[in-house]
Amino acid sequence: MSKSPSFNPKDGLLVVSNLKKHFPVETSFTAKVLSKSRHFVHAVEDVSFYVKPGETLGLVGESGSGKTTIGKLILGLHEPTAGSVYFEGQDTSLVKGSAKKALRKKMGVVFQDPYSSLNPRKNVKDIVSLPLRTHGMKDHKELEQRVTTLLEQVGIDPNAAGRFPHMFSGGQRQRIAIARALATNPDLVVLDEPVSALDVSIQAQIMNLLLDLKKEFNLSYLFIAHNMSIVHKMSDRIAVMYLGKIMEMADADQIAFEPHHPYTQALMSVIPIPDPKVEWGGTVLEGEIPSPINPPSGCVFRTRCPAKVVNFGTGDDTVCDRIEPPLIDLGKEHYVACHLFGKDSNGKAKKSKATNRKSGRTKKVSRGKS
Amino acid sequence: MAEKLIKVEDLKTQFTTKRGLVKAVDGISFEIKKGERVGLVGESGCGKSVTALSLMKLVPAAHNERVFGKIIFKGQDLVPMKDSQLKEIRGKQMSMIFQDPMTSLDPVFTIGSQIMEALGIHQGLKGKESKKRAIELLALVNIPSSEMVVDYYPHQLSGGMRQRAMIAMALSCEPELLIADEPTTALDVSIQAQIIKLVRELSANKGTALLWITHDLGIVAHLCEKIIVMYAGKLVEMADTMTLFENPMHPYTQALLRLAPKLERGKGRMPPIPGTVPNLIDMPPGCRFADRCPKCMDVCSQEPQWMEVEPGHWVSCFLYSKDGKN
Repeated sequence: MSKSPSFNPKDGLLVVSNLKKHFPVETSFTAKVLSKSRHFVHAVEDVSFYVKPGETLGLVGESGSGKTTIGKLILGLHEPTAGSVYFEGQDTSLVKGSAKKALRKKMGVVFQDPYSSLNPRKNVKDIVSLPLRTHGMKDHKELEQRVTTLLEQVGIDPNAAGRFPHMFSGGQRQRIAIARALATNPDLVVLDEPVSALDVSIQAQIMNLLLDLKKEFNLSYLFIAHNMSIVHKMSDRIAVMYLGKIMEMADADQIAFEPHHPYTQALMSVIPIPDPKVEWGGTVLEGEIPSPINPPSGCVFRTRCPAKVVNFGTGDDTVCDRIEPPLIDLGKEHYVACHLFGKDSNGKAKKSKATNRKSGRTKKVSRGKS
Repeated sequence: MAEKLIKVEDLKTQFTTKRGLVKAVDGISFEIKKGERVGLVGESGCGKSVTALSLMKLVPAAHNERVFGKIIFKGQDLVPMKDSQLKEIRGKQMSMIFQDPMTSLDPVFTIGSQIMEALGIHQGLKGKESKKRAIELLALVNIPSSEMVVDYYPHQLSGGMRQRAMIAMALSCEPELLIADEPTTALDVSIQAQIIKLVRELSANKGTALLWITHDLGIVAHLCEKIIVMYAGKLVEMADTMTLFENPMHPYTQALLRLAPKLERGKGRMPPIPGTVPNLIDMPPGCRFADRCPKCMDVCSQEPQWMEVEPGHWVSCFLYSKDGKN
C-alpha cells in the first residue's frame, strides 16, 4: 500500500509519483549462498511531489535522507525500483530513443562540487558546448556564439573561454557549471547543493545569479540542499525529507515559521541563526539517523521523535511503531506525514485535497509571474 | 575570569612556495582569558586554520614555514620553544580538534587505544586504570555504551560519534585551552547541535577556554562570548558577541552579517560582496578589503591600524580613526 498521495501527472512540469529506490547491499558470495535474504538500502521510499512551471521546490534533509538520489532518479541517472517520474505529463520511463534524448535536453543539472564536476582537461568552451554538440549543434560559429552568450549570462568573461577549470575560483567554476546546465535551454534544472561548497560572500552571488536566471528564462528548479536558511531563501515550496521519505511539504514560509511535523520543528530549532538574541537549540534531537538498510517500523522518525513521548504517552502509544503515517493534505498545499494530524479522517482529507491544491496552484503561478 | 591564558602579539606565519612568499597570517594580536569561549570567523583562505596551527606550533614544516611574533601561553612564549618543551604544553594544556574526524583518527587503532596513548604520555596512566579513564571520557561526551565503543575502530562509528571521540581525546588531559577547527562543518545540523551543546556544557563545567574556528556566524553567536573576524590574513574586528552582532563596525563584518544565511520572511536578492578574496601571494597594499568595500576612501590605500574604538571593541578601518584614538 502506498502511503503518499498520487498526484495527477499533469499537475505540474515535473510530477514524481510513489517513487522508490532500493540499492542492494553488496555481500560476499558465501553470505549470498548461506542466507536467502538480501539486504537493501532503502534510499528513497514512496516519495511523491510535483514542481509547477516556474516554481522552485526545495528538497531539504540531512545526509542519508535520499535527496540526492531523488535528483538522480529524475534525471534518469538511476532507474527507479518502483514509481514513476512524469515530465510534462509523460512517464519518463516509457520514453525511449530519440524522444528520450529530446527529453533530457529539457533538464539541466548543477552538482555540489565545482572542482569535480568540470573535466580538468577540457577548456571552458568545450565544457559549456558539450551539451549543445550532443544535441546536434555542429556549426562552429553558432557554437561559439552560444557559448559567449551563456558565459555572459552567468557573469564569466567570454574571452576566458579558452581557459581550463583550474584557472578559475570555486565561485567562477560554479558559474561555468550553471552555464553548461543552461546550454540546451532546459525547463527544469536540478540543483544539487549548488552553493554548499562556497564561501558566504560567493554563496550570495551564486544564489542571486540563480534567482535572476530563473526569472529571465522562466525556469523551474528542484533545489536540493541541507541548509534550511538557504533552501528557504531560494524556494517557493519546501519538502522536508527524513530517511527516504517526505515528512512535510508546504509553502516555504509555512515550513520555516509554522512547521507542523515534529522533525521539521526540531530541524528549525537547531539552525544556527546568526543572532545571539534568538533562542537556539530548543529541541536538540537525541541520537542519530537510523540505518536505511533496516529502517524503523511504522513512522521512520519515531526513534528520535520528541512528540511521540509527549502525545502518545497515554492511550494508544504504539500507533507510531505500528502504522506508517500517510502523507496527508492539510489544505493549501500543506502535506504532513505524522499521526498527530488527521489521524482518523484520511479519506476526507484526501478528497478535499484536489480542490485545495487547485486554488493554491493558480495563486502560486500568478505570484511567480508578478 | 579576567586572568589571561594566551596572548598573541603580532603573529606572522609565512610559507615560502615556488610562486612566492605566502603571508597566510600577517600580524595579528588577540588574547583569550581563562575559561573564555572565543570564535574566530572568516572565509576560506583568510588564515584562520593557519592561526590555529600556529598557536599549536603545528605548521607544516615542509613548506619552509616561518612564525614570527609572540604567543604567550601562561607567561611562556611558545614561538622560540623546542619540540621537547612543547610536549609539556601540547595535548596537555592545549589541545585541538580538527574538521574531519575520519582523517584525524588513526584507522588501524581502536578509539580506546588512541585515547589511552594520550593518557599514557601526559598523565602516566597505564593498563586498566587508563582504560577506565578512557571509558569515563567517552561517557562524558555522551557516547552510549562507552564500554563497548572503547574497543571499536574509527570506521565502526558515525561521523558525529567520531567527532565526540575526538573531543574525548582532546579533553583527556583536561586542557586549559581547546582549539577547534571547523569541528562541525562535516556534520548534519541535528548532530552539530548535539556537539555544540556538549562543548558549551563541558567548557562551562571544566572552565576550559575555547578557540572555535568557523565560517558560520550562526554557531559562534550561540557558543562564544567573544568573536574575532579575520580577512586575508589580518584581523578586521574583535568584540564581545552581543556588541559584534548589534554594532558591527567594519564593512566586512557588516557584509558578512548581512549575507549570513538567516530565516526571514520575504525573499529576493541579497546584496552580495563583489569580487573575491585577494591572492595571499600578491596582496594589495593598504586595506585588504578596499577593492570590495562599499565605503572605500582614498586613505584606504594605506594600512589601517588595529585599534580599540571602545572598551573591548577592536577594529581596523579608517572609518573610525578620525577622532584621534589611533
